[in-house]
Amino acid sequence: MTSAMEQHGRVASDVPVLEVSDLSVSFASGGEPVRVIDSVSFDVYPGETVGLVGESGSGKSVTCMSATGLIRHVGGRIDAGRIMIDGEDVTRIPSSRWRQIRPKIAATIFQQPIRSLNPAFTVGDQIAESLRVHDKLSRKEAWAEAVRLLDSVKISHAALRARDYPHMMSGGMCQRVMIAMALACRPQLLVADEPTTALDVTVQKGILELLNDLQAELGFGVLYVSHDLEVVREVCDRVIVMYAGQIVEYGEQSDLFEFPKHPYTAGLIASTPSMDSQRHELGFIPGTVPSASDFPSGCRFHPRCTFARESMCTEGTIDLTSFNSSERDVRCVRAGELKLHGGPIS
Amino acid sequence: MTILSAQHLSKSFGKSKRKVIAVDDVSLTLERASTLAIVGESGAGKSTVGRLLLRLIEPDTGRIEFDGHSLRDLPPREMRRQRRRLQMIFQDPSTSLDPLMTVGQTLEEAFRVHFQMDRKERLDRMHELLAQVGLGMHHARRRPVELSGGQIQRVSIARALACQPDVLVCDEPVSALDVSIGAQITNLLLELQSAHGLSLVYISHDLRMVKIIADEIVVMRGGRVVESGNAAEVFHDPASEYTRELLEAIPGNGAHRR
Amino acid sequence: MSSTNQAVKSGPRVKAARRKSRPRLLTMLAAAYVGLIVVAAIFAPYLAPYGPNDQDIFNTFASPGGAHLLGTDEVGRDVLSRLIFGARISLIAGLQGVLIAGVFGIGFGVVAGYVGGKFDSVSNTINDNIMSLPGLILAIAFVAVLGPGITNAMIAIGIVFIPRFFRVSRAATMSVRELTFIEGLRALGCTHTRILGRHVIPNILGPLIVEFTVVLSASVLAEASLSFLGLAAQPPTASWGAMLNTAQFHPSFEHLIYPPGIVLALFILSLTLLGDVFADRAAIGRRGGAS
Repeated sequence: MTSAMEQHGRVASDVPVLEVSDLSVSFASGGEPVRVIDSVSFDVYPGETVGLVGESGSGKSVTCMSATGLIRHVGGRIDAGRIMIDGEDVTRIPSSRWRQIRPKIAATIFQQPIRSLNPAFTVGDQIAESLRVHDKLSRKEAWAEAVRLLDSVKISHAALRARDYPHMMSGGMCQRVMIAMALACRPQLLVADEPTTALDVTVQKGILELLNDLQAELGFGVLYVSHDLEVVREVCDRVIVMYAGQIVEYGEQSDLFEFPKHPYTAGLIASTPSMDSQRHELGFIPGTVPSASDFPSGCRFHPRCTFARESMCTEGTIDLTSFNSSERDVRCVRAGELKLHGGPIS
Repeated sequence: MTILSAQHLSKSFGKSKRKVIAVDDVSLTLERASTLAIVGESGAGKSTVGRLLLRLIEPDTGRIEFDGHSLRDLPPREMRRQRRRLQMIFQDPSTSLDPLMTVGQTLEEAFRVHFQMDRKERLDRMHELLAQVGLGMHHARRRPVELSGGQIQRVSIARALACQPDVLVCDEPVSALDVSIGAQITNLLLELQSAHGLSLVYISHDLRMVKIIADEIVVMRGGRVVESGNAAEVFHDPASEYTRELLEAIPGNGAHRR
Repeated sequence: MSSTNQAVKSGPRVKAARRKSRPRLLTMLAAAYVGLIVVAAIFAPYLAPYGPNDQDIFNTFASPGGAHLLGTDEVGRDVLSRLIFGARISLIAGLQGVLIAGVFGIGFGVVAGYVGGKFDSVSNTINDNIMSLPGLILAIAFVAVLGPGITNAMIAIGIVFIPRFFRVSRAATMSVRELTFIEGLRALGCTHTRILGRHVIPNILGPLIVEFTVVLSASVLAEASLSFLGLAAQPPTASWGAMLNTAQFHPSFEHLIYPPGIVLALFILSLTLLGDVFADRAAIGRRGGAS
């Protein structure tokens, strides 16, 4: 890991910004609790971006929300495992403590930023509020800092723009405001949950460049959730692929996309059109993602997998194991023998 | 052979000071059994153009020619008859179907409008259509709320097919779906195109998906056509600066940052 | 959970069978009471011991008990029988009001919401004007012009309630009209009439049913009020309101006041309660319907 980061001039550090170990979360919606994510383990180091990919129902959002202490607010329960942020164990701290420390340690930016902003207050006020509460700045100081933050996210005429209300701003600008708010108290971890999905492609490009620049400057780690593999390729150092509540593949980005070892990863790559695809050439994965209450036995992907073998894939528990070198983890008993196609090298 | 063409379509909404020109002098042609993609970012007017082509929204000015005759000159009754041949599927699965009707009833609505069929014929045809889109008769009893997004899109396609259309306008059909489900639907559309000789108008903001399926392409911005032509050529060597900008913005297309 | 994902979940959003919630005791009591009144109205001739207008001149103001369970009024008519026949009057009057309001309100409201444009602006203006008229005053005016009587009064009340149905149906129609499946049906070649009748109206029934119960109870109360003022039910008609009208002149005879008063109050209360329950169900059922 360190060599990859040093290559790109990132600040190498021994202490991960986020360390998730054996995390299992369940939801109890009127009846039996249902386990939605199972023994999830990964880490994010300062200065690096880790991508989290998977389709709806894979558990990406649950993982993110658990990492930032939000899961219990939507009815989830951490059954087992540990979450460490910047060396501190936050797994079981109460909501009140989370409220105190969250802006300083972990911030999240979401899809459709207009929805995360309060329409009744100016954007400047909303950023300043966080600073007043957590950094104990005075009104004047907080406002000045808010303007400075807006400027740092490349919003021109920041002093004027700070007086705007969210509805006056475009989607792209709103997302920049969100980033400014998120970084106001200088957290070490930024969780980005599909931040550019609802934005036009030219606007998206600007946001991704901005995140890249800010990360280089401030050194925070990013957990980037997306269903768009091409975006993940563009911004991530390492990638986690989730399916049906489990990590099925985990490794260095370009290597993983070029040489996937899990059929689901290969399936996702084949299903994603890119500018290098040929006409009428689009693979697909048959079937649909199972719901948490109906996970198949054995490998959870086996009903949709073209390589599934009776007994070895359909029964028992399939573990996440290191593939040859320690740089790749795969949850597939046939990982070594399968010849899978990766994405084209751009 | 051109099956559908539009010349100088324009449409604006609102009055005087708050007038918004959604579509400004747009012309395009769709060849038989081929796919024309209309691309652009949000607000470009592409969805409006799709609706104008079918006269779901009435154009302010312009001419629409379908299979040799002018569509705008048709009286309401005749237009409704022609609608059988020009179908549309939409972006948002959650509102695409009548929530109170079962899949079977939705398909029967299509039969009822255009054909005279007895009960046995209807059931047989329903079976056939559902199979063509990868669903079974057991789905016929379900209501949209019991179906997944991908299944709803399949039902929409089945209903469109029930009319035996010549042209199918697809308004961002896979934008709201997961990648692998979207890929399934796209493959389905391609299959159906080659099986039935369908002409497709594919509206999308995703240039990568468009590259997979489009023969011809129209790039729109701010209600105007910025560039049009053979898809492969436009992608390879775009004439307009805006198209170039769009292509460069596609993740994975620009220089790799990592 | 997947609200942060724009992509639709790949699994079905609702399991096929839906949990049914058990009705509360109060709801069941309200429904039972309304049922009782309806039965009384339908089977009045068989249930009432006497005719509503059978006078027993030598037995006026009799106290409850014996041959007359609730006593008799100032001309010797059996109070219980008049109460039972009164159910018929009140119910029919209530329905008259709600039907007039509903037919015109929904009819115009749906068309205005669907068609929009000039028709919508004009109807809206007319509707707002009607809404500004105070109901009871309008009824009095009607009665002054056309003469007293239940039907005349209920026509007036019906007109007064048209705006409520108009607004609700217009708003609901406008929100359904925006949904993509309506465009799909037009693309299919459906006529506007078919779309309205087969697809729009079924999808707006939720709020309409709620409005129906609310207006029905208001209508019944209106009839009682107008009869109390002597404008609707004319003697010897046995409407509950009319009974209260005559009872006010004989305050020492409580058996003339309480029965119609209590029966009426409970009826309005039960209708209102049921209306609330429908409103709640309509809100929950939103997952299954368009509105």
